[in-house]
Amino acid sequence: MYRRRSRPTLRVLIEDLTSGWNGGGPKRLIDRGALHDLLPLSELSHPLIVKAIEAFGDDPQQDSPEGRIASASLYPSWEIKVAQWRGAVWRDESTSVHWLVAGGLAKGGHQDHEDFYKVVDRAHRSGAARAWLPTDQDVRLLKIETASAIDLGWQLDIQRMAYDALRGIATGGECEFDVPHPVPARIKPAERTLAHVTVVVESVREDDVSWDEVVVEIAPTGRWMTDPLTQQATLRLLVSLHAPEQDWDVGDGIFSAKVDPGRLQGRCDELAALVERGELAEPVPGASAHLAHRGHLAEKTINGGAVRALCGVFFVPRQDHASLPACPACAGALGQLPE
Amino acid sequence: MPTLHLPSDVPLDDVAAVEQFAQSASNPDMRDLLLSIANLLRDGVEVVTLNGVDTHALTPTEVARRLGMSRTHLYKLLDRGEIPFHRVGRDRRIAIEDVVAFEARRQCEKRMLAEAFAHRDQTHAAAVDAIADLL
Repeated sequence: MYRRRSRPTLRVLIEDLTSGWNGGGPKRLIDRGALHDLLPLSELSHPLIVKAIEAFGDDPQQDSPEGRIASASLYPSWEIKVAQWRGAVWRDESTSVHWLVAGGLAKGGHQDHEDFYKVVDRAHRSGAARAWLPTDQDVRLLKIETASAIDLGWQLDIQRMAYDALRGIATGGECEFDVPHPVPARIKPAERTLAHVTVVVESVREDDVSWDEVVVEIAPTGRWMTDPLTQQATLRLLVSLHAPEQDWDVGDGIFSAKVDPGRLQGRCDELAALVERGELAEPVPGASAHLAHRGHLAEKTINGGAVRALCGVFFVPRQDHASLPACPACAGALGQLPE
Repeated sequence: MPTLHLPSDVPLDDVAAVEQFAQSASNPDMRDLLLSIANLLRDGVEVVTLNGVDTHALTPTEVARRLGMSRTHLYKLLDRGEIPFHRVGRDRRIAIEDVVAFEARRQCEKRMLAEAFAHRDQTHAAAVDAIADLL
């Protein structure tokens, strides 16, 4: 489940790798507490971290450590070297994850007090090196990093399900499928289905109008009703089927979007290319600047709530609307307001 | 029980005038209300009871058109019991007040959906946390 490749502990990032970064280094993000923005830790741009992944990557066959550090008596530590940098890597046998638990510089022909090997020797003799092992926070970051990868794979699966459904019914029809939980192995067998999904495409052809409607029912099962995973799956399904956010309607839990005839076949082609490349579809935000009541805007811009525009669309006000073209429907509605 | 008596046989030109006036309302909710009244006039409804037994019922085709959705979509809502209906022979009829109530729920859910799209980073973070908790 976890990637075995080397990753630094937070202590190494903060205390040991105080120089040598390509670019600004992680200090600013750590100081701000934005630890999640550092992930994946294995890919931070420091020569010792790069070397640690070379020594212990995802393939055990390619392992290339220098050897064991003899003075590391508390726990086995593998030595890595790059230029003047030296590091100690400890392998967690329970997860197979390799941790860069210490880093430093070789100094004064190893006679300097601050020489890496001297520091390791003293820390292992005194027992201080026990505190170098991964902390609860290190393990949590590992789990978050692993969970992000699982989530990405799961969202790609959902996108593929949306594609498989849509390509059969792009010109009309109905398709049903189940969205599984992203980590089914950790869930009781009876609860491994997150939601049952029904997608219908209906062509409306009347004298004066013609459009296609895609109707999506997402029925969460049991305890997943209000889970953030269900919300995540819902947004992924909607964006996969039709990317423009503001085209989506919802009433009594049934989602729908009215699209131009033939648009859904075009969407199938786009989805096929995304599935092929292993990329997720990006939602398309509203492409125009809407008009809404000034008082509502001020409040909602602060609290992040949605306001209803003159044209009827709901949108969450942001700061960048000035760059967007004005919504013609809103302008039309404004033009009919009394002076 | 509040009731609304509408004049009968209103000329279509007058209905259009009501619609035009409705379009000029700055408050979108008021505009919807006035447009609903214009629709009622157009459909020849004379009495609307806003709370209680229905006084006028619409066909599924009329309701689908008014709600801007396909009939398939409307039948799903009816079959799931979200919008009540009664039968006249084999056909279904839907009370106007139930259409109005659905429209109110829909506005509320559309607002929440817009917020869900805007806040999807938080949803993503919460989903990742939920997965991490299982590892």
